[in-house]
Amino acid sequence: MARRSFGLRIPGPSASLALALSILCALFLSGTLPSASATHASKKSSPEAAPAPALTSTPAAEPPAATKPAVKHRAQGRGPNAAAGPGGGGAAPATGPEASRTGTTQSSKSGATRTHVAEKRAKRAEEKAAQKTSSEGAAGSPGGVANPQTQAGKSKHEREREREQKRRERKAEKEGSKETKKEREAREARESEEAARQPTGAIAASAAPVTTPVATSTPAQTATSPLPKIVGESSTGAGGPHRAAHSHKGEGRALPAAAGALAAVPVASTVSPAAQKKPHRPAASHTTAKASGPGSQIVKTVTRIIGVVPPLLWLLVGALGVLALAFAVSSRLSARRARLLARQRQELLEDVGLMQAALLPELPERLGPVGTTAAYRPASGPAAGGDFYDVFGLQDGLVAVIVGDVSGHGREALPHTTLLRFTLRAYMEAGLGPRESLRAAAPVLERQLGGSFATVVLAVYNPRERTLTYSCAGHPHPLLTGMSPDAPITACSAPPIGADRTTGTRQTVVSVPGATVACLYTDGVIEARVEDELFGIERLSGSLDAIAETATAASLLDRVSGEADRRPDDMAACLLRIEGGSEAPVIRTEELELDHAELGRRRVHRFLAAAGLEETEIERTIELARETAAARGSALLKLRLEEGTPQITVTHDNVAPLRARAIARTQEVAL
Amino acid sequence: MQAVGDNKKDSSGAIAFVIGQHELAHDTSVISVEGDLDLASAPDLKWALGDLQAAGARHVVVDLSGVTFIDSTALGVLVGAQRALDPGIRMAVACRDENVLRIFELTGLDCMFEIVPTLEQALEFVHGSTTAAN
Repeated sequence: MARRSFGLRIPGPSASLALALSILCALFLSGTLPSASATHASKKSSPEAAPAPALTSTPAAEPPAATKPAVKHRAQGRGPNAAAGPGGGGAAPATGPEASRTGTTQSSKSGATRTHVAEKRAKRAEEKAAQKTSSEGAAGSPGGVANPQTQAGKSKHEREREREQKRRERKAEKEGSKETKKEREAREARESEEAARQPTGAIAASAAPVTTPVATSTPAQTATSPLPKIVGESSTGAGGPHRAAHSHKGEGRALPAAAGALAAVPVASTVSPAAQKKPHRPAASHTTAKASGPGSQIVKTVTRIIGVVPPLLWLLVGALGVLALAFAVSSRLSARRARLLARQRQELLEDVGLMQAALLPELPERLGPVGTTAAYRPASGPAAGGDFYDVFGLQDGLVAVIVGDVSGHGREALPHTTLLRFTLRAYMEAGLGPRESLRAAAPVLERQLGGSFATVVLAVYNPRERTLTYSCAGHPHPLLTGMSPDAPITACSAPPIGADRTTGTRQTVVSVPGATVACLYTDGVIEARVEDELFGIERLSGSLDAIAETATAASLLDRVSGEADRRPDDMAACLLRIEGGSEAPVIRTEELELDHAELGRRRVHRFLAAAGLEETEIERTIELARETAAARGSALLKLRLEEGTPQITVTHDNVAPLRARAIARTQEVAL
Repeated sequence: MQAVGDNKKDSSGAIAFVIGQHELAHDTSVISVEGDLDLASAPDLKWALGDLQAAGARHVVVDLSGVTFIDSTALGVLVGAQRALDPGIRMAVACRDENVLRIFELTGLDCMFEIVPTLEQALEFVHGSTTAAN
C-alpha cells in the first residue's frame, strides 16, 4: 500500500497535469460522445476493430521506442484467449506497483499525447476497479476472478454501455493527439485540482493496479470475438481480483466515479510495461480512420467539438435556444404592438389637435391695427386642460380678447371651457363691454358650471380711442409693456364666475397713446415655479418687457418655461401688439360696482385709498354709495385717474337692467 | 391633533405640507395648514374640510398661518367648501402672509371668506363675537 501511494505521488507536476488532462478528455468523450460518432466509428472499423481503442492506448504508455513493436506484438497476442481470468488477475498484483513507477516515469518522458492515450485506456479499467473497491470494500475475493460465466451475469445494458465507451475511447485516442495545448492545460489544471481533493479515492483506487494489465490484455483477446463479449471480458478483467465481488453481484456501472478515475491515473500507467508485451492491433483502425479523408476530418472535428460538450451544457444550450426563440417572438410582438400604439397615438393626437383647435383657435396675425398672437402650453403635470382663449374682431374695428381658466382639469373641464368661451363671446358680440358681458353672463354661466368656477378676463381694444378696456373675474389683470404691473388697483377685485358672489363688478380702462404689448394670460403662467417660488406677476412683466420688441405669445411662454423649474398648471397667453409712439400706457378709469353687502367690507376702503383719495373723501364716497345702493340696489363708483387728482363719480347706472335684458335675450335665444 | 395630510418634500423639493385638524369645542374645528397649498396638497384639504362638515362642526376655522403659497386649485377647494357650508355654519380663515393675502385679493375671493390675521380672531368670528373684517 505504501508503495502504491508512493507510486501515486511520483509523477512530476507536468506529468500529472498531462495525465489529468487526458483523463478528463476521456471522461468527456466517453460520457458524452453522441451516438453519431459511435456509428461513424463502427462504419469505419470492422467488428474486430471495435475494441481497438483499448488496445491502442497501450503503446502510449510504453517508452517511445517500443511503440511500434508493441503494436505488432499485440496483433499476434490477440489470438490467445487471454485468460483474463484467474491467472492473469493473480499475476498482476506483483507487477503492479513496480510498473506503476516505471510507467509514470516513462510516460512523462514519452510526451503528453502518449501519456494521454495510455492513461485513458488504463484509467477506464482502473476506474471501474476503483469504483468497485471503494464502494464494496477492497476485500476482493480472488476466487471471484472474472470469467465468461460471471461476465454473463452482467446486464446486457451494462455491456452495451461499455461497448459504447470503448468506441468512444478509440475515438478519443485518435483525436486526443489533436487536442490543443490550451485545452489540455486547462484540463490538466482542473484534473490536478480534483485529484488533490480526493486523496481517499486515490488510495481506494490504488488497489486497482493489479487489474490494469489484465484490462489491457482483454481487448486484445476479445478483438476477434463479438463485441458484447469483449466488453464483458474487459470489464471483468479490469476488475481483477477486486472486481470479483462486483462480478458476483452482477452490478453494472458504466461510468467510474471521478475520484476513482483520478486516483487510477498514476496506477494506470503501470499498465504500460505489461501492456507492451501485448500485441497491438489498433494500427488497422488508425489506417481506416485516416483513409476516410479530409471530409471525415471535418466530421471528426465537429463530432469532437460536440463530443466534449457535457450533457449539462447541452441542456443549457437547449434552454438558451428556447429563450432566444422566446425573446425573438416577444420582441416581434412588442414591435408590432409599438407600431400599433404609435398609430393610435398619432390618431389620438390628431383628435386632441382638433379639440384643441376648437378651444384654442388659430388667430389671424392681425386684427385691424392690432397684431395678435396666442399660445398654449399644457402643464408638465396632470393638470392639463381648462385654459381657453379667443381673439376676435367686433364692430367699429374693436378687437376683443377672452382668456380664461376653468377650475378642474382634463376631461371634465373641456365642456366648461367651450361653454364659457362661446357664451362670453356671444355677449361681447352682442355689443356689451367687458364688465357688462361678465356681469350679465356670470349668473347664467354659474348655473351651468355645476359647482365648478372659472376665472376669466375680457378685454376690448378700441383703436380709435386707443383704449384698452378690461374686466377680470378672479383673474390676473393684463400686463402692458411700459406700465407698472402694480398700476391697476387690485383691491375689490371681482370674484370668479361660479363663486356664488356677484362678479363683473370691476373694469379698468387703460389709455394706450403709444406702442405697447398687452398680455392677457392664465394664472398657470404666474404659478410656474422658480426655485420653489412662484414665477409671479413681476417676473412675468420683466420677461415681457425683455422681449417686447419681438414678443409673441409663444416666445413669452417659451421664455417662462425656460426660466421655470416646474409648471404645475397649463399656461395660455394672448398678446396684442399695438403700434404707436413712445408714450407709455396709463390707467384712465377704474370702475367698481358695489352692492349693500360689499359696502360693508373693509376692502372698499382699501380700494378708494389705493386710488389716492383722502380719508374724508373715502368716507363721503362710501356714504354716497350706500345711499345709492339702498335706493337702486347697487352703486357704480367710477374713478378717473388720468389727470392728477382722482375724480370720483357715484352713479346708479349699473348693469342690473342690462342683466335683466341679457337674461331675457338668452331666454329668447333658447326659445 | 390628527394629521390628515402629510406630504413631505416632493420631487421638486417643495416645502413639506401638513394639515392638522383639531377640535376646540364640541362644535368648533380648526384645520391648520402648513407649507404650500397647491395642486398636490389641495385634495388633502378638500378631504379634511369634507370630514369636518360630515362630522357636523358648526364653527370652522381654516388656519393658513403656516401657508406661504396658495394656488388656484386650493382656492377652488376653499370656494367649494364655503359654498357647501350649511347656512348656519360659520367659517373663517386665519392668514396674515402678505403673498397669500395678495392672492386672495387678486382673485377677488377676499369677498368670499372672512379673512382675519390670527387664529384667535378667527375663533371670535366663528363664534359670532365679531363681524366681518373685510
